[in-house]
Amino acid sequence: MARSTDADRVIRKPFAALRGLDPESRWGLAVLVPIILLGSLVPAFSPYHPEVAGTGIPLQPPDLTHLFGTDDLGRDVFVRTFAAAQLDMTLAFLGVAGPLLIGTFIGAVIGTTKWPLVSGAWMILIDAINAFPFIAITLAIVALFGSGPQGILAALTLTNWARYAKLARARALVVGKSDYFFATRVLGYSRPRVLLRHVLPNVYSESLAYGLSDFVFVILVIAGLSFLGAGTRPPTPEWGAMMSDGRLFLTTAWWIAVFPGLALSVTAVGVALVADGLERRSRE
Amino acid sequence: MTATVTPLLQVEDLSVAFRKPGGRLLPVVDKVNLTVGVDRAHGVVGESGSGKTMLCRTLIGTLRRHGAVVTGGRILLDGQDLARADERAWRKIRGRVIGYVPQSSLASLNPVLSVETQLVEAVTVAGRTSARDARAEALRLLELVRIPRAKQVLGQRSHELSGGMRQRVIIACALAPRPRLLIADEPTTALDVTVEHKILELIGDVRREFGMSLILVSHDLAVVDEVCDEVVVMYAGASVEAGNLERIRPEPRHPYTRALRISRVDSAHPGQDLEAIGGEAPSLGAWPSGCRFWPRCPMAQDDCRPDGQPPLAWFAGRWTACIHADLMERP
Repeated sequence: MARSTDADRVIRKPFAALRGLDPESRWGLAVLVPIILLGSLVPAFSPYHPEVAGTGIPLQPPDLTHLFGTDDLGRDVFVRTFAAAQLDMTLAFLGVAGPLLIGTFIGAVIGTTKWPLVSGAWMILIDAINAFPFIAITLAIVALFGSGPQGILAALTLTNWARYAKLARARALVVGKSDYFFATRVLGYSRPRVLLRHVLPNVYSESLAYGLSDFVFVILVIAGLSFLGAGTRPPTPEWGAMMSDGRLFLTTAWWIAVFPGLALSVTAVGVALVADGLERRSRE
Repeated sequence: MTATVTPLLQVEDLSVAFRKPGGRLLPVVDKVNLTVGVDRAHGVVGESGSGKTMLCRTLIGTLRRHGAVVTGGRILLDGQDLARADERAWRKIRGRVIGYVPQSSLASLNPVLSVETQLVEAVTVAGRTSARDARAEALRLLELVRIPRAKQVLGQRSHELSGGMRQRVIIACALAPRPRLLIADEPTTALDVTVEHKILELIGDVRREFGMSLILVSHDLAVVDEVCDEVVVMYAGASVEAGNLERIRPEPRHPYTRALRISRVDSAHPGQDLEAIGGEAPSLGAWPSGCRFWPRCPMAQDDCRPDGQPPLAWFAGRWTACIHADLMERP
């Protein structure tokens, strides 16, 4: 009994669950919360502008006036790193939420449809998308939609939904064979009602668990795309783009690439810790 | 005894078959007749594989889900032939006119929703009360199925309830639209004996209170005897004996019905071996020719083997498929 109550609590009352968090999730939050706070505070209160170039001395090493030094255009790396935190985490959140919602819904529909041809056709599409090398297909979509945040989001949404759909379909197949699913049929409930009120609530918890670990992957994809020049456009501060810029000065001005890279790694580790903690909790 | 008023549901020579790959048909229900009067309780008794569950699934219109089709016969409800009804017609009947309490009900409640959410949903879909009164109606239904501390149970979810409680909630959901016919397919299989008795009593009482008709399916003749007026005994897809329980209980006129009766523990005599039915029920697609019961029948004779399954004939106040019914003595 304890198992299902705990799992249900995480699913239904995430905030109540926060109170009794395990150490892993606490460490994860201890890392993430400061990054999110600094991400919103530093750009607002810093004397330096994250985008305007030529106001400071270029390639200054870290000191008390510029905690993370300055880049080749004289911009403060500290303010740029945390301005980027804001953008990266917002994009990552949207890049997880969009595919999660769309994919879970599609998966639930094709997992419980009575037309095998419909689900078959969707599965071919899903497997085709999943089989493609991820970076190749996202680059192609960015090329189609143009670079920038909307290009990244379009690429993530159009590809990543297929993973969620596959996961949700597998779960929906189990739900579709369950006694309570049959019970809703013989009670005379309509198909939309059964889908929304009985299938989705039993499917989405798994998508949510996957979404948390997907968050790390999505942050890396966003940074990776920008690193390749297919993501955000200069002068917008973004971790991947900043690392790409700093690459040229790695031996002479290491701080330009290292600090955004550090921020990216720390964020990824923080999210991974929270994901692990919540997942283990929901299993116990 | 036949009802003088028009029956609520009339099943005539209903045949159902599984559709196998390649279009082959595997019969599972073979020319079954069943007449359920208004405000009457009708039992269906048979072993596993006798086709009783598929008969129920036919009457609730979910055959296709199980890969089966109606291959003959009629199901008349209010002059409408349900054997030919499409999904749209079924949607008006399923749950609303014909309610259904499923077989393995321990998992029939949605695990992530509370009892209240599910009952309110059943009430809302039934459309008999306004949305505002739905919660009060949900509570009323819980009290109707005699759940103690109903208010507290409303807030609970499936895993917090015992088997008997879950079954009561399921029955409450099925009762929400006030169906005219309730089909209960082995509603007590997963429950222990004391709870079984209470649930049967509940079903019987609610049926009388609502003036509802009932089809109770069981493998146990005694269970059906507790609640029903009439019974049809099924064996290998066919009905072998049908009629009023008053006549059939004391004096079965089919060897299979008789065997069902005397193989019960409570009819055994101390010091004597319990009589069991020899052999095994024939599996689907391997029904013997002639009377399907003859390989296991203690009084089988040579003329039982040729021809097909004998049709029901009126004998001694009930319908029986045994051509030697006159040779049977009282058990």
